[in-house]
Amino acid sequence: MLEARHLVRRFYGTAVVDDVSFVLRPGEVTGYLGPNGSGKTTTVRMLTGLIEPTSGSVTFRGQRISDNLTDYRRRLGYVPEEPFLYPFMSGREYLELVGRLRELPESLLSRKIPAMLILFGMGDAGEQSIGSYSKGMKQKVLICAALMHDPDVIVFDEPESGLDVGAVLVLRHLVQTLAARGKAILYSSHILESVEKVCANVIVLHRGRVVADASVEHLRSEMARSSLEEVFSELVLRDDPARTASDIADVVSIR
Amino acid sequence: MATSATTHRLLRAHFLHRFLDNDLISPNADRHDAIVLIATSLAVPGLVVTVLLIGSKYLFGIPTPALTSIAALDDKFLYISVSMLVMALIGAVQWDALDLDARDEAILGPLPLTHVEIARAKLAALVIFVSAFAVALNAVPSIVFPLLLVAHFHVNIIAVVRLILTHATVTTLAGAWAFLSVVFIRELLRLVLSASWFRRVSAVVQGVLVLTLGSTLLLTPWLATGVPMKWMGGSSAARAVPPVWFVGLYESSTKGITLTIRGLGLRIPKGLIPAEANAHVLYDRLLPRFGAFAQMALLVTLVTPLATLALYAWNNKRLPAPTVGRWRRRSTGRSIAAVLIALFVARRPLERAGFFFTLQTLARSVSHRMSIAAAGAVAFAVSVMFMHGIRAINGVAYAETRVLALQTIAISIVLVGVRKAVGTPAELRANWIFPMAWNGEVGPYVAGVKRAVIIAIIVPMLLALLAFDWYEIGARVAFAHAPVAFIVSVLVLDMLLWQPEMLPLTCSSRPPGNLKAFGPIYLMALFVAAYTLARVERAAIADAARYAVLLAASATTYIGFRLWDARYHGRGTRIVFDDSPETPTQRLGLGEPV
Repeated sequence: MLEARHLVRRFYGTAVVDDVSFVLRPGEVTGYLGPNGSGKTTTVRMLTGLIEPTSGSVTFRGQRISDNLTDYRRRLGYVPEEPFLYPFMSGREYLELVGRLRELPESLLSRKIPAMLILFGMGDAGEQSIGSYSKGMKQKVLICAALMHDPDVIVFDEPESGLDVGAVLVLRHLVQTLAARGKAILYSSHILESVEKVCANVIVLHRGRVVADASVEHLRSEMARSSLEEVFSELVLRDDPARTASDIADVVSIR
Repeated sequence: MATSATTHRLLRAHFLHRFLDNDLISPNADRHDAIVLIATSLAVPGLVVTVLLIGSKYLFGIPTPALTSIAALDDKFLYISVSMLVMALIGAVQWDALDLDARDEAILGPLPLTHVEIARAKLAALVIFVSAFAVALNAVPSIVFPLLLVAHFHVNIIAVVRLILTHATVTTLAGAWAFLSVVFIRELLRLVLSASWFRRVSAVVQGVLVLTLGSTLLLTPWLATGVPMKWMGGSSAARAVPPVWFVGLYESSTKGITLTIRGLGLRIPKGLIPAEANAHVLYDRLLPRFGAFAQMALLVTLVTPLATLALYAWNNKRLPAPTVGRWRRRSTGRSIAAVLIALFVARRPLERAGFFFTLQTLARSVSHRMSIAAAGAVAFAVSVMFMHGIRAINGVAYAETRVLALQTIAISIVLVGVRKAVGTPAELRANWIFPMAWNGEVGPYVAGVKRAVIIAIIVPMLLALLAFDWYEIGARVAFAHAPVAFIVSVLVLDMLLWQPEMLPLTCSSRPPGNLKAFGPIYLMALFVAAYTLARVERAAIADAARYAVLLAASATTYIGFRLWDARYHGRGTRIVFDDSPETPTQRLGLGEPV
């Protein structure tokens, strides 16, 4: 459904994303893993059409997304990493704005918005101004905004950021349910536990390059590791985390 | 102790940066540009006015002591008023940054700092900030104006220095007092109102302050004429105007020099002897009042800072709690209004998006409200000047033409403010949702924006002007004028928002061409167009058939423009959004290559 082909993105000559290729299929949740600065968010922005790749292409149903970005975005839901919203609006007003920009009928908005806000535990808070929201509340509004138009492709960029435990559990089930209903989902995160529980396939990115692209099971058996965390450590981390942690603690205690 | 001083310096610098923080411009790149721009715009007008306008008066026009003393009262009133109004305006514009706020709490709350340290640093930053503005505003005139005053007279250097120091002290004191008065109003509101009421009332008070201070500032050159008779020798109400007190303080401090110059026995040109004698009499009559005015100035200069400081300290006893969101539960009335708007005003979802987004932004965003309040201030000042002219005219016909022209000019000025407001992104960092959810159709969204402006700004303005017209030029002309005024206003709005590559409230518009060069031309064009239209309208209103032709012509022009506009705002217009989330800095066209 959505295919990234040899994506490269350079900033000031440095390749932040280097020859990344993968496919998102309907009914599948693909995890996109990598340490900070590995190029996850840059890839996500190329997938959403917010930035152009230096080379390579993104195709949706066989057509380059840049050929008809508007039509592609009608089928796309995107939860960005940073929860930037209009602070003077209430959550409900923001969702109304997004729904209207997407040309959803008013009758549909008046059914969907309150229902989604209530289900995300924000029934009353939906009337408060966003300026007073916690990060988690903003994240919930972003998730509602991304799903309101029932998209075919959904891109989550660090969706659990700021969410409480209950909301994280709901989100994980929601992602799986949406996939079961035929959505193609990219789940970009550095929280290994989430990716392991939610995703069937995992792409691991390191310094802008794909170092693994397979199912979680396959990676575990291939690398003879019992968990995704160990696989990740093997693929990405060059130093022993315990040793690094000990070194940090030593620096902290310097007086 | 050293650590404490460093902490204080760091905190002070932090608060000073906060005064210049603007979410709409780049966090780092533009701060120095902004400082230079502000300092220049404060210093240059003072220099230009002093040297070119006031200077020529003293150097070439008034060579006698008493006439100089009387004429100088007007100029001193002007300098003092401008200092007060500009400083008060700065207070009004910085309204929300005057106190410690929730962001300070978020940043500084977790640090091991005492509240007293934080409050002291904030206060110090406020003093530095205000002093810098006061110096930028008053420094040049303080040196140049006293020199011009004594240009014709042989005065010793000590007297000149005293004049310079007096000018600098009085204008700065007046400005500081005005600034503190704004802080006092804010702190008083904070004290007497609950947090939620304060938030509501505060926004209104800030808008009203900007509107009244801005329009008064624009009217100052006109108000500062005939000061001895109009203000100092006028009614008790006129004498209660604060600049008069500070002019009194100025004169009380320098009257010795004035009287010394008079006593020099200078040779007066024959033609000026009667005028000089009259000026003598007038100045001597005012002399006893200067002392009373000076006492008042000293009293308020002493009391206001103490009262403000007390309120400030009381209100900032502790860091403010994080903001609790304002509850906006939708009332039945609002729900009905929303349904009616969906049925009759904005039928398509995209139109509703533009309509409601515009109303919400213009009503709730401070920078957008300020743009419209500033334009309202200019429109009000122009209207007052026009009305003054109308009252001085005896011919009814010409008065009618002026009233009709005034409306077009006032509405156009306010709509220019609206253009500035909708050309400012509601929140740059949140704009990413527009490219993500955008369907590519500019027309319906822009139509929604325009309808919001028509309903929220044009219609209320026209109703107010209708009542004014009724009073000034009679019901028949007023009601005949209203439909034409409506069509013209909507046409002006369409013309101002005609910019296909710009999406209102999401993209920042750039000033058309070189505004410094073309601004006066636009203004003249507006005046010529408004007067021409007013003349045509006046001629048409007298005859039903001609009036019908005028209405039809106006409507045809409007429809023609809309059709032309539709070609550009149709599907397929490429919008260049200002910002996408990955961009580290945000631009308003400021970083474009020159």
